[in-house]
Amino acid sequence: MPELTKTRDHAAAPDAPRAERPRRRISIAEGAVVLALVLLLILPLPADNLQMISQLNQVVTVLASALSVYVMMRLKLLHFGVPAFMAVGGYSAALTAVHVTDNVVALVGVSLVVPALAAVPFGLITMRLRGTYFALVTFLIGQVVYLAIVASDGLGGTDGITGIPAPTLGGTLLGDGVATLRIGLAVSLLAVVLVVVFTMVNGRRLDALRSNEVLAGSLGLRSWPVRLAAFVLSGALAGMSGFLIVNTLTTAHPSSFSTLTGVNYVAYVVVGGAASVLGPFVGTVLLVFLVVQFASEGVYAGALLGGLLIFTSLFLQKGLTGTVHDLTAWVVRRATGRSGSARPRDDSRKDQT
Amino acid sequence: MSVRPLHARRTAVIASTILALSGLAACGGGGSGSGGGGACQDGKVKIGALLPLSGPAAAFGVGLRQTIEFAAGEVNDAGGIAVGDEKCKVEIVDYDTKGTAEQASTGINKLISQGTKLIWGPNLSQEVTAVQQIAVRNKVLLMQASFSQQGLSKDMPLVFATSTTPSGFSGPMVKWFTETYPDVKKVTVVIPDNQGGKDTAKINDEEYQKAGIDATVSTFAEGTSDFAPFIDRLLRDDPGAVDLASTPPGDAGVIIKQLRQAGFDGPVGRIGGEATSAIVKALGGDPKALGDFFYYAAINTEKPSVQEYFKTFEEKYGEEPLAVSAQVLPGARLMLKAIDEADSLDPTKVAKALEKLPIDDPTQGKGVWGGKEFYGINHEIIVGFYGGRYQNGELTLTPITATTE
Amino acid sequence: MDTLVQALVNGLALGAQYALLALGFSLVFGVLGVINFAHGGFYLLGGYFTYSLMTSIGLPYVPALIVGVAGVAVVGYLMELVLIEPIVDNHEGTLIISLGFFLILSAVVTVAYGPEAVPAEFPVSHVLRFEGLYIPVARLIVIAVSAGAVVALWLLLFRSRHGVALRALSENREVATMQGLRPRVYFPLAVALSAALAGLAGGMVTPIFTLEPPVAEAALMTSFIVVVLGGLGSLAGAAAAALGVGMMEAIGGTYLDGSMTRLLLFSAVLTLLLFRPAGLAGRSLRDA
Repeated sequence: MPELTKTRDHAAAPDAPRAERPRRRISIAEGAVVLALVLLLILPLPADNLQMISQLNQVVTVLASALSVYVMMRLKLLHFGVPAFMAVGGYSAALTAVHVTDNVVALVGVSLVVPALAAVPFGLITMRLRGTYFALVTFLIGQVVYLAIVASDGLGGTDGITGIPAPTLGGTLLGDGVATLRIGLAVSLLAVVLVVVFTMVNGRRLDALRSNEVLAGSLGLRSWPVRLAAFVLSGALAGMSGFLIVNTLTTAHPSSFSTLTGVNYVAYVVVGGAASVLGPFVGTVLLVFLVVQFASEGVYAGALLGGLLIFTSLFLQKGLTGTVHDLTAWVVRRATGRSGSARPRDDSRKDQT
Repeated sequence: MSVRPLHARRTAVIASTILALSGLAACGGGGSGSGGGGACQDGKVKIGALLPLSGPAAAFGVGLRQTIEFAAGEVNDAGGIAVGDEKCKVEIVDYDTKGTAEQASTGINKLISQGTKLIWGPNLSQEVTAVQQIAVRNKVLLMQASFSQQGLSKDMPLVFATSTTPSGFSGPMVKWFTETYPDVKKVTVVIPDNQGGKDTAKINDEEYQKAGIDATVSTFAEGTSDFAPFIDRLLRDDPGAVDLASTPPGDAGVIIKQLRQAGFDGPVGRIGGEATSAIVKALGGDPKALGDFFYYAAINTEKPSVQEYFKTFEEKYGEEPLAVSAQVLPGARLMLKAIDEADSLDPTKVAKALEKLPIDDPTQGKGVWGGKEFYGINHEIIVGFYGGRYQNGELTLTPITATTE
Repeated sequence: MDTLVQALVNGLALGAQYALLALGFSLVFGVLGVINFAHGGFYLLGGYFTYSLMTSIGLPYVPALIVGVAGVAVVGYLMELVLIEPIVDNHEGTLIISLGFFLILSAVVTVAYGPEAVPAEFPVSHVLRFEGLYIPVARLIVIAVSAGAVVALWLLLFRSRHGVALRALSENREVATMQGLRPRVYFPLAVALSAALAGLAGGMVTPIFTLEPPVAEAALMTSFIVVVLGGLGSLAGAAAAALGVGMMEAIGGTYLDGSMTRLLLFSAVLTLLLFRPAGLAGRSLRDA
């Protein structure tokens, strides 16, 4: 790929209807997600409603992982290696909590930075891979990291690291259910903000690469810096999710990071939609809720989830948010009698899943 | 530029999301039961079944579920459990943990919010670790079925173990082993590379060493289908016997098959949970294929009471129960009996009653509450077990005294 | 020395079954561009159909295997036609669909046969022994049948009209379609063929080892690693990689403890990808 020096965003996007603004504005959908998380964070929560606390906690714990997949989906790449980076983040935080400090800010920081650094070499490997081949390889990355953890006695091997102390902030111990949830909400909020900022800054480049990489390259946009940046961010997000899981269970156990769980996070984004952070948010909330509901069905739970995945992929190809978006647009168009004027906007979303 | 329809669309999306979220919260909020003492909950006693009903551990989970279902069925057929002046029917509330710590943790929270504070399960070590503290904090009674070495403790007065754990059976079994095979001086313990494997193997290994036998632990990768290379490695050490510890039955079957193919005629055995009939099944159904096989027999399949159980289960539910379900019957029955004795659904009262109940099970026979030496508390059900030996397809069972270790 | 020779024999047997699995997987990926998560499910069905036919209607092993494999091919055909075809160009979507299908398949199998292993037996249990080596005849049969299947596949793909059509569709779908080759006809056939190969592997191998629901995942992972190593779109690469992986697992397993062999194998493949992103013999980096 020819490497030209410096390109400007607006020159690189082949399908830019908003050429007069150099950066994407934060969409209302994304703002809504941020708002929802902020509200949940600051409003009082019913501490005795165990199921709600637990389910909300489950959602926020894996939200960052869904976002991790989402970031790569913006480049039309399926990332199945998310559990690997969750493990790196989770174990780093666990070791820090046990040996160095239990300050929550430090723990979150570690869970963000270490996987980001780890993502660099793996990112370089996957740099030249396309499409679904990328998916297979990320699967293998997940396996390698899992096996490496199980093989290292320093990380507790097959028993994992147990008895991780609860995190503290200032002098306060943040150990009970509600505190754990609040940490989860704060970290998820951070994750969402990071993703929104990243997509704002790189939005055009991402769109260009997703639509037509060759064309973009011929216009001077090098794909690998964006891809690597996305992959590193993806790793950081996964790492934060790993910390939250380890914090909830107070144990860093390899079974929490098995490769097959990577499939779940991809499902959250596929079902929810990949047009904005609202997609992974909706997908995570819905599927976590459904898994808990299905769990009382025993052996049929897998079949129900499978059926849902098939249904969504066949009939809701843009995920829930994409379909709702299209539906409301259709309704609005019918109602206001307008047509055509909204369509250029839709095109930029056309090739998303 | 049409801005308004854009906003309208977006607003619709946001509105629906916020609605969905509040809907979720409402659903989540719909279940804060008390589960405390006094009479039943709408004429029912809810017992939670927190088990791996799918995934790799499903064979154990499904078997355990059969047990509690059978025990509940027995009680219900007799009219139910008397709590206060009501007679309550037992209802099983399932939650599939899929063998993961996260789902176990989510599951127990869900069960607690639905007012289910008497729980049968979990099964795997990582599940138990994940739910222990939650159970303690919420004063929930757990009748768990794992081999976790931290599965019981003085600080968890409401946690019980429904099956004898390695610390209970390993020592006596190894003693029986040395008596049965006095010429064997070297044993290789084989386990998969995961926590379930390690829990058992470590204890077996120690017991062999204590008995003066040279023991090594050899692990294989999870998901291995062809064990031939592993077996070649194993046999290079020239062991006198091979102990499969808690290797899952499917894998155990292949290992035995391939060990015999490789020409190893020595004793192969399994000092781990009940899995022998599953192994024989995996080998094609003929016990002769086992060769000289020794195992920790938690169930005496020849016993009339055990055969009676299998027959009754099949008649009632239309399918043959998994053998492992017979092993933990005492725990299930005692749990329900304790509710009756305590005359309450309060887990703390039920636990106190449970501790005092003598163990004399119609199917499995007499037993004791043990585990104090290893765990610090006598909350482990130890029923009489046997050393089982297959030779040429013929089974000999030697009763082994259960110790209150 | 003995050990090494024994390991090589084991490796050959492993490689042969992996080749069947990987070729099928690579075929679907090459022709349709679809990563078929249900591939392990076809392997599983091959085992269970054969077992069922033998136990329920008493069919001897070989006819049971043949009918069973045909059955799996039908399942594959229908899966493509009903589930994949509507969105065949959506790579992410088809992957998720195949995953959903696999989850359903797994649940059905577990309900129908139970979660424990079933007593599936291979009809030949004789073992050849000489000079410190032992070779179960069953494994020789697997090697022979797999080799035969690979040759048959090669003949189909390179010496028959339909094979040319499949290859044309995988190389350049637009041009092939313009030339009159209908994907609608060939895609289901490609998946049926892939399913048949996986089913054959399953039907042969599971009676030798063990037949229970979890074996599907292991088969899928193996397909992944072999195909990634061998390179996408290259059947020769897939076959060679299958042999290589089989050998590595056999030799590694004989000398290394626990999961070390796997770890080394996967790390080696990832390192290889650094230098040869298309695998050993992969054709191109095009988005299949």
